[in-house]
Amino acid sequence: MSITNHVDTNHSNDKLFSPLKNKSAEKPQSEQKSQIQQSSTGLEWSAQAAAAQQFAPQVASADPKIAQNKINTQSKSSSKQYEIKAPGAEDIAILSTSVAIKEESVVAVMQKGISSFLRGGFNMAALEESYRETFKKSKSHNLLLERFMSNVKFSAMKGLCSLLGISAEEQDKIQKEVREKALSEIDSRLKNEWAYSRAMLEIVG
Amino acid sequence: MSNKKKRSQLKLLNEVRDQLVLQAERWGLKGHYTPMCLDEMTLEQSHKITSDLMSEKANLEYELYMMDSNKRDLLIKMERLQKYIKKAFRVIEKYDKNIKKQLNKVIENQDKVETILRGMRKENTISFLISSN
Repeated sequence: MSITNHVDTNHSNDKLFSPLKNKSAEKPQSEQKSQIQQSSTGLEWSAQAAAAQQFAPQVASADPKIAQNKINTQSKSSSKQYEIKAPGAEDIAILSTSVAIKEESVVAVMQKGISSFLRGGFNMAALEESYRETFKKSKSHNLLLERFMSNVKFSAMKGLCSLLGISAEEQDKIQKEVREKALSEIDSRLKNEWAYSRAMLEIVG
Repeated sequence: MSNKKKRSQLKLLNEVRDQLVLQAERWGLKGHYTPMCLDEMTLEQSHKITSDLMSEKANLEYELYMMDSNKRDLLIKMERLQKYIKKAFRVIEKYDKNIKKQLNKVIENQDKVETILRGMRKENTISFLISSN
């Protein structure tokens, strides 16, 4: 195992067992930190890591397995001479962020666009219902009160729907459904309401 | 019902019809609801009302002969109902004639007109369920 890996394990242990550390263990660490601050260049990282290893047994005393691993790595590193390593790809990875910086991922976010952003703010079911209603009203017999106002509303709603990403075919489909429903309603009203009342009026009235 | 009241009601019904026909035209069904089509609808409904009246008459007859109820009231009801039934038949005849006239304008062949009218006419039938008891 390389020294850089060893440094990583130390850091992770530090994070994991920070509440378990003794004050005595913290003191040398702070001294070590001050030393690192004084002479912290990229080339001296390996030496700092070795110094940090001295305190590892105290830290890992809580978990016997980890302690065993530390001892093993210590023995290996002590047998070898220190290697001087420049910060590699792994070190950079530690500084990585969760924000998408890759070009592709950024493009993917942009592709969702305004429509997906707007869709979140609208209740699509209610919007569709209102679209159907205004389209139905736009064919009303009442010229000023219903037909004109509904036409204005409907054109605005149509624009909004296209902005939200509802395709023209989908809109046509909705319009067809509304038309069929409205025609069947007109037919049934003519038969059951108008014709029945007229016949009843002529017979009984 | 007074004539004035009847006329105002007819006016109201005509207004409803005009609005519905106009709406249908706006939806793209221009010329679908012709006067003949509307007369056919009324004729159909007249047939329906007549059959309802006939079934009501049958119920009253059953009550009159089979049950111990006030016979006088039942007879009055039946008399009134008979009037309505007669009127209903007259209305049916009137609409039949109207449709025939309109068909004659469109189709010159009389036989064809008769076959169409025969298809439109419905025979009113009443069925009784007689049990063994």
